[in-house]
Amino acid sequence: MKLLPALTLAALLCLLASAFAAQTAGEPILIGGLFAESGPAAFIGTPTRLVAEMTIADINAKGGVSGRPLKLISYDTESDPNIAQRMARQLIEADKVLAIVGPSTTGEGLAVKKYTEENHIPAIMTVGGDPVIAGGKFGPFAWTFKTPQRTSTAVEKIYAYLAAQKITKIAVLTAKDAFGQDGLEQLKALAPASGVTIAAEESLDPSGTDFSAQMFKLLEAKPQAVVVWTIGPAGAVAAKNFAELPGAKPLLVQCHGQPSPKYLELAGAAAEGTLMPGTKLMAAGQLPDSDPQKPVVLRFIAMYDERGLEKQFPLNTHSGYAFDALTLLRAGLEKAGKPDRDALRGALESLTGVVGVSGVFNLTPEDHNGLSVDSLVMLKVEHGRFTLAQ
Amino acid sequence: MASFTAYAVQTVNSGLALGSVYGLMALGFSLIYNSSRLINFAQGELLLLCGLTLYSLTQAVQVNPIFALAAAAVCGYGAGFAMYSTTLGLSFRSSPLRQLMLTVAASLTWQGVAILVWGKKPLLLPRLLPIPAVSAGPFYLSADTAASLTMALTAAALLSLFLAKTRYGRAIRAVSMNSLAARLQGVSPTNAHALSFALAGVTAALGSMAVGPQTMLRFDMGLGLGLKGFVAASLGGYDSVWKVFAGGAILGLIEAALVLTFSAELKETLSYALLIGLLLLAKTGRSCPEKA
Repeated sequence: MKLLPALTLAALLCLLASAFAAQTAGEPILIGGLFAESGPAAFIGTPTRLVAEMTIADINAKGGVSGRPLKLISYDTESDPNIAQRMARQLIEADKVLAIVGPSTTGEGLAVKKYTEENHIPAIMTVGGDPVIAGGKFGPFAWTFKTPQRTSTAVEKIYAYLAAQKITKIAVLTAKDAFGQDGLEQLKALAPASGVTIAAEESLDPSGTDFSAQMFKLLEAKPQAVVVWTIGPAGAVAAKNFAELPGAKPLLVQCHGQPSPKYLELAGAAAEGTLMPGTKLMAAGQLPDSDPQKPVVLRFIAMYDERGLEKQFPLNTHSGYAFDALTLLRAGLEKAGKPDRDALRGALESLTGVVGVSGVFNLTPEDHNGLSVDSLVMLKVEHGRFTLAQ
Repeated sequence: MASFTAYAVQTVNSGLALGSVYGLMALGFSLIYNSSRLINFAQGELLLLCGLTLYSLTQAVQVNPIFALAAAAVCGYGAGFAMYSTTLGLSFRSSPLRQLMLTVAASLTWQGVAILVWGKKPLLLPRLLPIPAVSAGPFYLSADTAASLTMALTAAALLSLFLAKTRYGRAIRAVSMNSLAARLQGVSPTNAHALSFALAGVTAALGSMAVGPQTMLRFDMGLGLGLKGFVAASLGGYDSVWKVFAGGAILGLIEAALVLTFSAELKETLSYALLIGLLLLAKTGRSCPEKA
């Protein structure tokens, strides 16, 4: 029984020692991770953590950053903005991490950002929505970065594709949550410049199971394409309802959050012919050799398979975002030359030509995402698989 | 005008698709209510668990239509009987309120089982019956609607034959009319109650085959569908199989019309407002249901 106090003392000494030693060479650089591993966003958050761990192991296997390995300390945010913010505080104040990767959803991102911006902590988020790096009413974003494409980038990709098909009249069905609202705003804002008119709008509850009525009303406006903006199973439900209505149908376009095997499974035959912008992960085999992302994407997929993640979480458009966040972090640390928050922030927002899974990142102080329309491809479902749309 | 026709056709199509499911739920509700004067709040969970079991079956083996129907019947019968044994069967002499609370508890427990076994993600039950879409002129029924309607009408017809022509059916009706008199004639109310639960399970299982391909199966769908069945049974008045089924179809059509003319958000609010209205009317209309 005398062992216990001795052990506690030893542990305390170790902690003390690590606190002093943290700045010396060879010691790990601590990185905080915030992932929604339970709650409604768990289907995104859990694989995100696994990919983050995989990427850190890969970086360390290659010698780490300037001779120092990275170490990930991560917490489950339960898909809850309040918990996400509390965990961010814990990562900084108790665990003394240098920077944060995550969280997973837009709502959590906005909550975490309040704390990290105030305390000058670099945070590279994997959230879908733009508000975290939009500035204006959403507050400054000097310390906040995000790796998934902006909503506006995805809308531009869709509009460019529609223009090439000579389609000018569309109808939109958007989710009532923050993600859907963001989509609706961008769809409307970019329509005039792209020569597109929105003939009808309807909204859907992302946890709903039948949108036939909304779909029917949209089709009554006789659009040439219907654009659906939601993540999760609702997109598949909309595709099914769309397919079941009688008569000739226009094109059905989903948003950039849909490409995943789950969509194909849930929508079944109704998925055939539907279109959506997605990251190049979804059609890696069909990329031209001239694409600079091709080797990175193929290597990522190989690592993903090797760790057995494919079986648990079949590869989808979200899979690469944590890899990209850590790739940016490593590039930033190398550029900064020292594990210092100020230097890291400055380095991150001046990174150019960093090739990730989701695209080639060119960041600026105004653009804390750095991905262009070229980072997305237009996917079409053919014979139950995602293929590059012509 | 063309637009009006299109709206009407679509209302009929989507109204009958869900209306048939409500009708099947309502049949189960009124079977149990008539034999035991019990509102079974776990009716929706019967549908949920049968649907999920069928889903697992389709994942495991190739399911042909006959096998699917047989499996649904067996599963529904078993689930209904299991529900009877754990609720009314345990509390035969308890107060109606306690029996009611037991069904509420059963509903939550079965939902918990569904989460534990199948998780919280929605699962798509494939179409198990090869019934094609029907279209004649502007009139149109999608494959889902046609299948739901066929199943519901067949179930209602079989059920009404069963109740009218068979010994067991007559026993259920006898208990429903006067439990004491039935007992004096040698009919066991316990058996009649158990049978009505089991039959309600079978209608719920058919309901799951109808609703699964339309809206997918999810752990939290039971209560909503169960309540819709209750509204439909109240609309139909509990006393005749065909009226009860018509109650379901009418509720489905009303909902579809409301959703199409106004908005999807009004659907739930208005269906339950209808329930409040019905309950208030029923109170004055049928002042005092005869005591069993």
